Amino acid sequence: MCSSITDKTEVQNAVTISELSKFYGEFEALKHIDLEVTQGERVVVCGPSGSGKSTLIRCINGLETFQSGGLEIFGEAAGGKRNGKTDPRHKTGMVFQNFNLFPHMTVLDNCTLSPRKHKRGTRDKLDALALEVLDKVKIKDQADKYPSQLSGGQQQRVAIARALCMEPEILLFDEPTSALDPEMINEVLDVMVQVANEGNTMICVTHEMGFARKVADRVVFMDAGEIVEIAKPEDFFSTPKTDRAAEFLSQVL
Amino acid sequence: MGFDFEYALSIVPQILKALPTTFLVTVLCCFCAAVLAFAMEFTRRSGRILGYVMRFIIDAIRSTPILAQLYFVFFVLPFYGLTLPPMVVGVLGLSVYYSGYLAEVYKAGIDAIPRGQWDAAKALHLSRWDTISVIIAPQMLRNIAAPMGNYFVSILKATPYLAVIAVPEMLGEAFDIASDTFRYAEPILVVGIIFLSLALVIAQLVRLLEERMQQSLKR
Repeated sequence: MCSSITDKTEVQNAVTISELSKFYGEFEALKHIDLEVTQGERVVVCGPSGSGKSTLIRCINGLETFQSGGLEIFGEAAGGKRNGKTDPRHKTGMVFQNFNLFPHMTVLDNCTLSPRKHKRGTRDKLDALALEVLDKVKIKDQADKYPSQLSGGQQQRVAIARALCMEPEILLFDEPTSALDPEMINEVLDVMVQVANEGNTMICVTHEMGFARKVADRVVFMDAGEIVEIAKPEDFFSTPKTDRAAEFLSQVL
Repeated sequence: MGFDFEYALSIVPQILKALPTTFLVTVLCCFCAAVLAFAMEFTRRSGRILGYVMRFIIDAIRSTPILAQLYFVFFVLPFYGLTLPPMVVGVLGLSVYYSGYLAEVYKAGIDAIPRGQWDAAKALHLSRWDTISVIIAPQMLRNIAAPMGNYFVSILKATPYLAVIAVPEMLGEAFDIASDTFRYAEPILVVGIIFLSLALVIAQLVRLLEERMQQSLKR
């Protein structure tokens, strides 16, 4: 178990993962993962492709099932499978590598769909809220457009807004900049930094080491389905403890 | 006995009397088949055992002749105490038969939707029904507008089957005229032309609908 690096003594765990294992048939994609993320903490998960980092965060919000081990969200156990309205995983929001916006809905409708379906308020109130969030990600003027009319970077900012509109307590990012053209990466990272600075609990799978350096409280390095190393970014980047991490860093930095 | 153009024109009104029935059966069947296929396709996807059962049912529907199905409902069920009016049997029979095919079309339309759409719906904690009705169905319909339209035309063209169970549709009406006068060329040709015009109208409507859907995608 790793202790979280925060000043406060009594901070609630947002996510507690213990002994979590995930199999695809015979293949063990995640091997006895232990990880605690405290409320307000920003964790960057990195590692070579196929190391299980995406699988791990997909387990947290129930997009993947797992076969053994435990997952708690704010102290509430979430089983291997989803269970209806009371599932604590409802406190999570997610941003995907390929945006996954709904192509047949406007930007605004993409953002308000889930709050509307969860009866978070009247349409007017939710529209206003969504416009506020869209303003924050600097894309308010595109609210009535369709996703296909936007650039990749714009689409990803909409996807971030859509996740924020559910007012999630934990934000999950699954390689949010990997599908973007290089010149669009920064506009998305800027928004992510901004979101991070607002005190949200974030777990980001990313290869953007600059982002990790800037906002992460801890870096989790995974390889071959295991957590190999957990460290503060300054320690991780300057003096990685394991050879595997050192090798990975030599390739991405 | 050559083709009598005047005679052909004179029987048009009598055949057109059956047009409302043909039209009604077509519209009802298109609607029922579309809804039924929707239920069948999403049942097929909803669970393992239910999925296998539904797959068998869909295959069975598609693998038996439509006439056998119609005769079964019309002649065999009354033997077991269930007698339905011909119109009901006809609509039911055609709807079920074509729902089997439409379910396959839906399947292709859903398979073409990127996996990420389901993921996003789940990540936004939408219920299964909301996911299907708001996210998946609209994108599916856009994918399958053309093949679905084909089946609607097929349903129209299958209405003459109902003549065998005494539903007064157009081809049956034409045959009644023919057997009275022993002139076959004119009634059959008239019916053929009417069906052709109807099919062309439907096809054109589908094309317009398709174009509109594509436009909303491009917007």
